[in-house]
Amino acid sequence: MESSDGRVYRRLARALRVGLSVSLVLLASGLVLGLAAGSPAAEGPAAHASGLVLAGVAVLLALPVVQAVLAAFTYWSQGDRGFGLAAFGLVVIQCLALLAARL
Amino acid sequence: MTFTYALSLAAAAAAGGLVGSLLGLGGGIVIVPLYSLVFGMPVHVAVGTSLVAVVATASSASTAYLGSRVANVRLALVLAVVAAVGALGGGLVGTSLKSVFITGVFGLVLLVVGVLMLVRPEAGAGEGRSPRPASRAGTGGASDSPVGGLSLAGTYFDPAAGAHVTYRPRSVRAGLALSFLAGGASGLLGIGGGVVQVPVMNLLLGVPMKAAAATSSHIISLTAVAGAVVYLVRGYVDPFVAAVTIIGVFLGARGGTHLARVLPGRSIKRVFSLVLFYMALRMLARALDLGFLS
Repeated sequence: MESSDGRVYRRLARALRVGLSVSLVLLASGLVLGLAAGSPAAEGPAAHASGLVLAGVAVLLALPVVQAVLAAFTYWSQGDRGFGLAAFGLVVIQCLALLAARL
Repeated sequence: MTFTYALSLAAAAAAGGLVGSLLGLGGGIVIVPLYSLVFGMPVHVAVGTSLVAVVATASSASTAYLGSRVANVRLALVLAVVAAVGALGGGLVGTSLKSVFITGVFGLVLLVVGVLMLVRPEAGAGEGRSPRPASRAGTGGASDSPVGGLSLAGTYFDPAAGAHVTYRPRSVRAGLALSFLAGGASGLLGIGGGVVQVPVMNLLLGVPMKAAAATSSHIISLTAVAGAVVYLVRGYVDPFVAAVTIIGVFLGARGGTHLARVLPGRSIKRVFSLVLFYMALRMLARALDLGFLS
């Protein structure tokens, strides 16, 4: 039990640290570029700024899904099927949110 | 977005992060009324923006708690499944409701939290006592209450006690129901839900306070996205406003963590309960269309 939990803790912490850093860099770069370019526009530096900010938000919102996938994979591969299924259920609900929001 | 507007939004978000961190409530409960009342944002936009910031702050806190292994990942996974369903439902309902209703409910929640802080200033996500003594490693705690045969017992090292603390959550089924409600409140109001999750885990499930706060952060980092995505897809999140908010809340929360170490917690909570009352009054007045107050 300790072994699979140890791996889950380590993998989740690493994924969160990397993902948050990438997201914050993208958000900050996009903001600086957008503020320097002035009002948002469909082309030029402002378009790049929008792209960077959107990418930052997308990376941020993907982190919980990545966490749940990592937990599902780690627990399942360690033979801890119950928690693997619980984590997989969480992935399903997170993805379902994207579909349900479009209704 | 102009530089001045971005700066004032960031300052408000930082204030939300600072106050939320000082009070142990998270930033959402301050950011939503600030954005709505001060910046005149539609309440749905304030809620959606706050939810995206909640994902960021909970993920950041969760990184630290996972590193120190205080969070109970197994318990978090089980509670997160139902909390995510609640958050998704809350988001779908929230985006369908009229803003006046959400404003009114938010005002009532602020009122309740303000009263609780005034009456029980020691209650909060970041401090408090375990309702029953947690056991030292190996001795076990209250009777385990596994769900579907899953053992949810947890262990962490408490530097203050200089020992490993082991506990076994009880009444998990009741915890699941309340977790669903916490998730619903998160999706509906743009708050993390820790204000419900932490006391439920501590008082009902018998999880020690440190582990409850850490596990709550982890649950929120997994579930708030279900509500945030609904608001984003339905056009209630401006990515630039969200970016400014995330960075502001991050900076504010860091400042709040440092300030919390030097400022007297009880007095701070009493003072800020008055701020919450004021915001509650304004939100309720707006919901009830009392022009002279809103």
